Amino acid sequence: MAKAMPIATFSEGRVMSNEEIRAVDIFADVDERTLEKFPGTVRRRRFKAGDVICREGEGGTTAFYIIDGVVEVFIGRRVGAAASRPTGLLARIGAALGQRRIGKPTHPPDRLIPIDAGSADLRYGELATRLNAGEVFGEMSCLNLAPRSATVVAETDCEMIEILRNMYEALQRSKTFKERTDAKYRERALDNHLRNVPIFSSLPDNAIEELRDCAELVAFEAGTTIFNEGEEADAMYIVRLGQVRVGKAFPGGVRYLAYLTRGDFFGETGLLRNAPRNATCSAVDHPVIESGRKRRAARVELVRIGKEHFERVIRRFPDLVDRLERVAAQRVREQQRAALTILPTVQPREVEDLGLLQGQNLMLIDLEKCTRCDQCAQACASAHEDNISRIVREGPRYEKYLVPASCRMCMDPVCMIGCPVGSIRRTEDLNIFIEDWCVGCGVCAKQCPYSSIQLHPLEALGEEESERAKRYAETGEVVNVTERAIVCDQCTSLPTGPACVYACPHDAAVRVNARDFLEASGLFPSAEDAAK
Amino acid sequence: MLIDRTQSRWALATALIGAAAVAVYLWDAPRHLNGPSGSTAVGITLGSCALAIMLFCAALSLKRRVPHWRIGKAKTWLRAHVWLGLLTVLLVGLHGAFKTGGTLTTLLWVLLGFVTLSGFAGILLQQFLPRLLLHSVPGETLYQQLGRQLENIRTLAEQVVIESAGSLEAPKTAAISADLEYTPPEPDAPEAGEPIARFYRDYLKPFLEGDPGSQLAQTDRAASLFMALRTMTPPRLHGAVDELASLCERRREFQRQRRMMIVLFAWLIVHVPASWALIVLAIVHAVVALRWKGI
Repeated sequence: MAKAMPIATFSEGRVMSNEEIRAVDIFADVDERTLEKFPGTVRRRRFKAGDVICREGEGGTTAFYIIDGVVEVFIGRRVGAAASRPTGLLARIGAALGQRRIGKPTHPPDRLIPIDAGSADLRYGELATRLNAGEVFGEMSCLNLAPRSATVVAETDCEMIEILRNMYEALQRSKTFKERTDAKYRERALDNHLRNVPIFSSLPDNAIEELRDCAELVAFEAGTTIFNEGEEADAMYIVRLGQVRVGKAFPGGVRYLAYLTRGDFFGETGLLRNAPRNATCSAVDHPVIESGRKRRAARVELVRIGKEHFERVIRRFPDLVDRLERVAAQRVREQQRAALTILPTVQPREVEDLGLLQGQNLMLIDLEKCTRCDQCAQACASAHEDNISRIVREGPRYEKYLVPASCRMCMDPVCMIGCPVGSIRRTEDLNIFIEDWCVGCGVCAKQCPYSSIQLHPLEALGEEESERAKRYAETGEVVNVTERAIVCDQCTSLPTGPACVYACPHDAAVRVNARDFLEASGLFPSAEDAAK
Repeated sequence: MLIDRTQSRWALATALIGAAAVAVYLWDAPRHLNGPSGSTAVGITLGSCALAIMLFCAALSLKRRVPHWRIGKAKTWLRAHVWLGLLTVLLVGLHGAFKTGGTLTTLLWVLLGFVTLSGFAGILLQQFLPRLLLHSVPGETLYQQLGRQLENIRTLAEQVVIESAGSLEAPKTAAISADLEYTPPEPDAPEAGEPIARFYRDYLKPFLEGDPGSQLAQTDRAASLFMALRTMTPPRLHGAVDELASLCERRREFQRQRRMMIVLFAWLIVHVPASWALIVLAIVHAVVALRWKGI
């Protein structure tokens, strides 16, 4: 079960008067009427060195602007640890015989980890950074009610202002504030985001500078379309703030291929192939999980690189074309895979209610064959180095089949919406995967309609907090990350395929494309029958 | 494991190997003055094959400990276990020329009988019990969760009783019976929920505490008791009565599940220890026969 996130209250510090607010440079353009309209929405906060400002995973509704001082931003997890050694005689024999288990993924230390700090990101190898005076953090929590993506601790004595959403939206319309935050973003984060795009990763510094200079910073209201499938491609984009949904129309409905988060890019295929857009991209709002309050849609901020600039760089660096081709080919492959599973227009009510056809790789257990021996769950645990089963042999039934709680590789993976650190992603073969820098906020688990994502204590996973987190934990100041989200990875890295199916002695467990399987079993009308 | 058409190849292969073993035995039998026995070359070969199959069958329990190892699908292992295990009976019979022999070999026959019959029982149970579970326990849960679920039902039922009757305590009056004539109190009177409290005291509590003789353990009797309770309570409490009836039905379901699952796995209590004993004694028999009897 997903835990309830605590939400910090907006009651500490001192409410600033309009005169005091106006004295802060970023509010220079905010008119008097706005200040009067939202009284009490800005507080002055002072923190001593070592004070905790916010904690990763907890709910938050405010953004912070640093007036003076330095803060340390970190995720309290130790990531990329070496694979645990096999314990027990059989496990050692297995390891010696080359029997593989699924361990933690590894990433290069410079891999970008997005956090909710406008001008900074973390690196996989460090998971910590600093923010200085003039920088902002907590925008996503303020605007989209996203959980805090990282723990922020005052490194020196700090002075800050804490801002509620109404005022922050007014600030975003302020020219001074926008210029200030855009400049900070260009200065600290944009280079990294450009380098994060695989096709640009090996460009020389002057080319990155050129791209940085020509990049436009644009914003879209959540829910609006950035571009439609079939339109002429005029730019590529990088996500700066918020999330973008990529959908493609197929007969029978729209398939959502991905939810992109900060640092991800899209729209390059059309530019490269000089072809129309092959998918529709739209700005997505963060799910309102805790409060359920009605609120205005949030903004999604993007970096736009126009076609003419893109082509100019391409012309100067012809070897980019090969890389771009590879990326474009990968996207096309993803779309082709997606096209294999198309929602039919007619579905029996029960199938629709159970969301069975969402399952591109649905696990089913034939209850007439299953002797309830639980070998599937044991095999799942045994196949993973953390010894945790991703399957719970419980769930709804359809005819003689049990649909256990296990990832279905949904056609619309709504679990991906709202992850504050972008740790949940879809792999090329459409699997859902949760990276090990997950902060345990539980948004994905709450979003999953089929209870297929579980939160497990770090201890149970054999994982540890980082030294930094432990240091603050000793002072009792930080509620550290204590859990991590776990989802079925379909055992794609095992040559045997899903361990649950491989280990079922009664031939009862299957992993299937739900539609094909139900059609073949006669439990679902074929397309021809439905048409009749 | 369901015995269905997908097993036909295994059945055919077993039959062919069995027929071949019988043919070799019949061909070899007339060549020995004292008749066929386990000490002839053919007898030793058949015995060795039987022991090898027994060892393979026993390896299934080791394979279950490392289910993800890439050493063949579990379903193939199980099929081989069942069909080759069946073949063992024939091979052992041919090896000993269907004679019991001394104490050790007699004991081996007894153990083989236990193993085979318990295995048959297991297979037989697996043909219909999973299906029965599917249809008779729609709200099936994990076996390990049954205790907790039964406890949850008890808590929920007590909450319903407290909400409708005010307390779990009932006045000392006559028990509710399906045949009892009863004049209900005024619908809005505080004592309107009293029959529920009495029902809890007389029937529900013992049932929730696991009394095997409770009348609520029988579906038909429970239905008539709840019907009687409905007539004794005002309409505003009928929802509570229905909820209690539904909780009792769920408890009966879980109890049914527990019984079925115990039966589904009970055969293993005989099969597994008997199998290991059989293997150990078969090895002893082989070593003794080959080494000390100078075969």
